[in-house]
Amino acid sequence: MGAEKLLINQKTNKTAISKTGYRALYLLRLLIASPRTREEILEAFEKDFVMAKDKKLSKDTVTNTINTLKACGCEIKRPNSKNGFKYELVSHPFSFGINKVQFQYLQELRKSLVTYGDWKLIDEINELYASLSEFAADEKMRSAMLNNRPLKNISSGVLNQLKKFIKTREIADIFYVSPRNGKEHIDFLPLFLRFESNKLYLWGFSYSYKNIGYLRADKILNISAKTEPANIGPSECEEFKKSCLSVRYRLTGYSAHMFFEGVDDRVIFRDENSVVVETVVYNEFNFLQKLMNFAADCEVISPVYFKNKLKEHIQQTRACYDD
Amino acid sequence: MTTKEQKMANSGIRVLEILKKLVEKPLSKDEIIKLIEDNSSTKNIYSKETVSKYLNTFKLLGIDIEKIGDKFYLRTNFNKINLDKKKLETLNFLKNYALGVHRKEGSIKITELFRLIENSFDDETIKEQAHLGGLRLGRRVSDSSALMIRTFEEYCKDRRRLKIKLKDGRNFSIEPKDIIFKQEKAFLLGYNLQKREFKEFFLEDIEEVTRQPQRALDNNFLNPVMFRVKGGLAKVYDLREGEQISETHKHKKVILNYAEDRELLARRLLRYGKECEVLSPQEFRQYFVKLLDEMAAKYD
Repeated sequence: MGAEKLLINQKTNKTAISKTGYRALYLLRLLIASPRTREEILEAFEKDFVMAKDKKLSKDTVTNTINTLKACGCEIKRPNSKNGFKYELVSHPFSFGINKVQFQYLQELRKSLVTYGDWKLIDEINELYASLSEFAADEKMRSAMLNNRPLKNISSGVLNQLKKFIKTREIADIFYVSPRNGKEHIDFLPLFLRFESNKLYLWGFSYSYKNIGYLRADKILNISAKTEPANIGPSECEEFKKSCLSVRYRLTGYSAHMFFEGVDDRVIFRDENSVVVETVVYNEFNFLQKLMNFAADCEVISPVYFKNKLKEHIQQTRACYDD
Repeated sequence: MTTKEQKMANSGIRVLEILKKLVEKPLSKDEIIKLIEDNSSTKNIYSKETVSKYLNTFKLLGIDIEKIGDKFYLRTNFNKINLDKKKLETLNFLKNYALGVHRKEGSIKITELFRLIENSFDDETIKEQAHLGGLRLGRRVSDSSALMIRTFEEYCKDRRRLKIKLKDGRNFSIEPKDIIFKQEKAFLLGYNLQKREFKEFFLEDIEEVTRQPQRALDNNFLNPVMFRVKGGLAKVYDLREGEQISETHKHKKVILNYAEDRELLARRLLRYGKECEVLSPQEFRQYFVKLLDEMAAKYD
């Protein structure tokens, strides 16, 4: 429908809109876009095709319209020398926000997505929720959307640095709070990030310990490029990787249902009831923990060395219960 | 202000008040009339033509009002949002994931929520979204799974006790609590009445359900699992939801776990190897030992 048709009732030939309502909403839009002086508002009114027909427009019209907005719950700052004599809209009640039920559902969705163990997805969801938090109906929900999230203990600064170092394959000096040794500097070649047991781990080659290890991302205080003349190079890491074992195992039951292929896994076979996986083992201790987590759903197929290793680990755990 | 000017200003206020209400919920013409009359200090009677005049005002300003049935829905949000390509892709994924899990009640709410977000896009975001065309789809569950999820959702709402038979032959008497999602798989969270513990049931493992006349209780008594963590693990152990420390010694901590599904808890504790020992209840300790024996038997 054309604007003219909306403006005039064709049957009665009378105005088919509320002119003051139109003016108030027009001003609301102007002030949402940016603060304006009274003169700027009047000029905009005079240029509008609906209001231009009204010959009685004046500065008082502007004041009255501002008062109409205020009467309906808009908070508008008075013009003064500090704000360049502009009317400034602080808040208004005409925006819908994410209500409590929707907020709870969004949080539930985020929680269920964590079970994929895909840290990139979690990071992206967190970024999206940060943008959407502007729409939360109150401050409490806004704060929860921003802060009540997975990866909450990791600063965005550290996370961005980790992503950068993984991409550039640079050797880093990582200042780390080790659970066993306290604060220490580690020369580390970051390889990839992995989300496991609700925590984010940085995997890489530790030149300090000469092995592939993992660091808890939330315990990293600082990460910087290795500036000292390095007598180490990425080739040492490549050599180590070549020497890593590949372990083949079969999963059944719940573990097979829930198995999600990681960066170092390769699915060899999959049917309704089972999955056979081959994994490159960068860290034996961590891999043993992973297999223990599968409980009786897991059987190591090869190599024999790792079958024995797991058996020994199970027996040591079982020995705690030899009353 | 003259009477005419006052009347005019009131007309402006009426338009804004209608908009304010439409932000909260959709309204029919009759409801709008009632809203105006309730807020009016005079005893004026307002007609549907007056309401049409106000709705025309919105339209003339490009404020999108959609009529569904006899109700008017506000589709324009005054606060705009700018999402870059990456965030839009994530939003599209989230939307498809949310719709894909087919949670009846949730799906309705989530449709409204995504409509709200999409109606708030700024011009740049609208262009980007048109370019993307809703790529990066989430996973979807089959129609039969969706039906099952809805049925169990009804059971949770109904709050009557259930007798459940699993495909492996095990039977449980439970109070249904909630449907939870892990990846795209749906689980029924229930309170196991015999063992006084929460348990998750993979919906596809359930063979038979019988509804009982008894209603579920609001507060369930929970029988906690007690375990001891030692050595390095004691230093770094982070308490989970529903856990508390019972005792702390120099290199040991005793933890009480109230909420976790026992089978899943056992798997997690197995991960800790010899740095963790299950203390009680005796039944769970025996179950844990049995699991270890079954695991070891695979390599005899």
